[in-house]
Amino acid sequence: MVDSVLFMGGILNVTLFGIPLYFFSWAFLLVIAGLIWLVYSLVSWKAFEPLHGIYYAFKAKSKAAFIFNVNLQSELISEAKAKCIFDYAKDFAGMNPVKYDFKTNEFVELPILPGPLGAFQRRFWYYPSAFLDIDLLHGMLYKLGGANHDVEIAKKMQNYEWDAKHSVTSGGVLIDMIFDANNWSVQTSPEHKICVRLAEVWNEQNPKDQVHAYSKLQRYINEGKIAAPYGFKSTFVCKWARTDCGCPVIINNNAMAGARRQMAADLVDQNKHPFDKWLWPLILAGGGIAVLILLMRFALHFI
Amino acid sequence: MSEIVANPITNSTLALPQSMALNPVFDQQVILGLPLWFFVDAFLVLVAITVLLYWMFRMKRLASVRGYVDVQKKASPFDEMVWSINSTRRLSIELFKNIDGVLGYPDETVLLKYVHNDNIPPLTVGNVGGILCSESYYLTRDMVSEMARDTACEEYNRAVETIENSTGPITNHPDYVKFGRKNLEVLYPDGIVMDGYRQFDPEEDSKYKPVGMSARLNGGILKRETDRLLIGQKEESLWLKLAVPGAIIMVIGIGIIAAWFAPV
Repeated sequence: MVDSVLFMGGILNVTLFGIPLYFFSWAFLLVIAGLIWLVYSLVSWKAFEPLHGIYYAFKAKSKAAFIFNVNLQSELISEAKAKCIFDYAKDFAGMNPVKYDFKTNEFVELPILPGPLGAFQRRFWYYPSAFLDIDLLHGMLYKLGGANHDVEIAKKMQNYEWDAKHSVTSGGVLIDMIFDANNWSVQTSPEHKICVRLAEVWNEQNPKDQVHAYSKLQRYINEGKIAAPYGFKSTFVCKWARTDCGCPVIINNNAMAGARRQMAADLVDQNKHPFDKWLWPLILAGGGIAVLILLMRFALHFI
Repeated sequence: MSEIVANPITNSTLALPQSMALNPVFDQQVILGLPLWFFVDAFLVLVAITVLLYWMFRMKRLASVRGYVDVQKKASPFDEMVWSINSTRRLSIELFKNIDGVLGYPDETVLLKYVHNDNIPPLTVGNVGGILCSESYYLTRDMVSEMARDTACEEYNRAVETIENSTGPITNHPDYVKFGRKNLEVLYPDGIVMDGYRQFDPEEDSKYKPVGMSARLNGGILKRETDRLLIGQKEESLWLKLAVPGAIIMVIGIGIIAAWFAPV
């Protein structure tokens, strides 16, 4: 029911092109929200592109990984990308709900609910629930929030045999520093595909002792349990020239000598008498005035 | 005929000017006399605030790596991106000043100073070059060679009993300097063979790292030496400082006066 008095004196009921102004206020607010989103995502967020791993790790409640290659080209990525051989989300995309039976080490198809409930069940089935005990509510929340649980899955599949080294922290997230010389963790590299195949074959033959992490695969290759195919690189040779630069035996501080002198010179410059700075401008200005006066007096002689 | 300024009064109790309109749905005053459009507006304000808070929270997670963006903004030859690990093992990306090969915070009062060996490859992240430092060691770091050294030392220590005329295990940096480096080169003449995939362990690394060479101590020494050099410089007296400019001003003054009274 419309009262006899309009809200705010009806100022937003005034029409523009036949439409009340409050419709425009809605559009304005939506544009503001959109602009905030665009500015943050395209300007602020995009500027940190190689470092997004910190945020995603925080979101998934996992660690992040600072991964670097031989040339120290590095990236900050999620722990799942850096450590897990398999991409469970990709493997289970579009599949019917399944559950992993740890007793038999096999996947069991879950019963599908009848009618539209079944469609709902398929739509909101969250792949980590195949391996982990996640209730429906959390499953839906994690799915909608895009939380990744690959690390937890990999840990469980390896019976919690997981390489835990000391980490550093940043932005409230634990960060592991990982050296990957042979692009094992690069999803598109041929080495990664070989890692996946090696782990698959091993897991089929040894369901009780599965390999889901690169570090375990590396260890098993070193121990000779897993035979790497010809040409597959699993080691790196660090030349002595490089080792001697990174870990010098004779630590000299030649570079410091120049720095000390320079710092001292800078400080002397800072403390310099302000008059010194004006010396040459004063001489030039004074000389200029003297010449000007002479010329003027010379000119006056002819007037 | 006079101009019509209001709609004719019908069943409604509200007389509405012609420039205004009422919507049958959104102008319904449902709660506390507030129209429905007000609640839609309030909801949209809430959406805008939520979007803002969501992004602020998201960006706050990246505050510790802010230096990555700062370096790209400044991009002068003296600005350096430094991945710094402090004494409590917190990693942050900072913008450092690189002056004469010595890296430090732009704030000169902070003592931390690092020295970079240009044979160490730069740490590149998204095509932005930088270096890695940790507070406990004043030289910039190359984790690959550090891991190689750690691997070699561990392997050597495991096999030390089987090596003839062994000098004993390598347990710290002085051992590495004294005999470790030489012995390891005998074991690995072409370079140290290490795992291609390996997690860096700061604990393990600290075993073979030189002690008592923190970047803070280095900065302190640098500061002391600088002060010593400054003290060594003879302070000029005020009279001496004023004598030369005073004489110059006098000459100029005489020149101006002479020019003024000069017969032409």
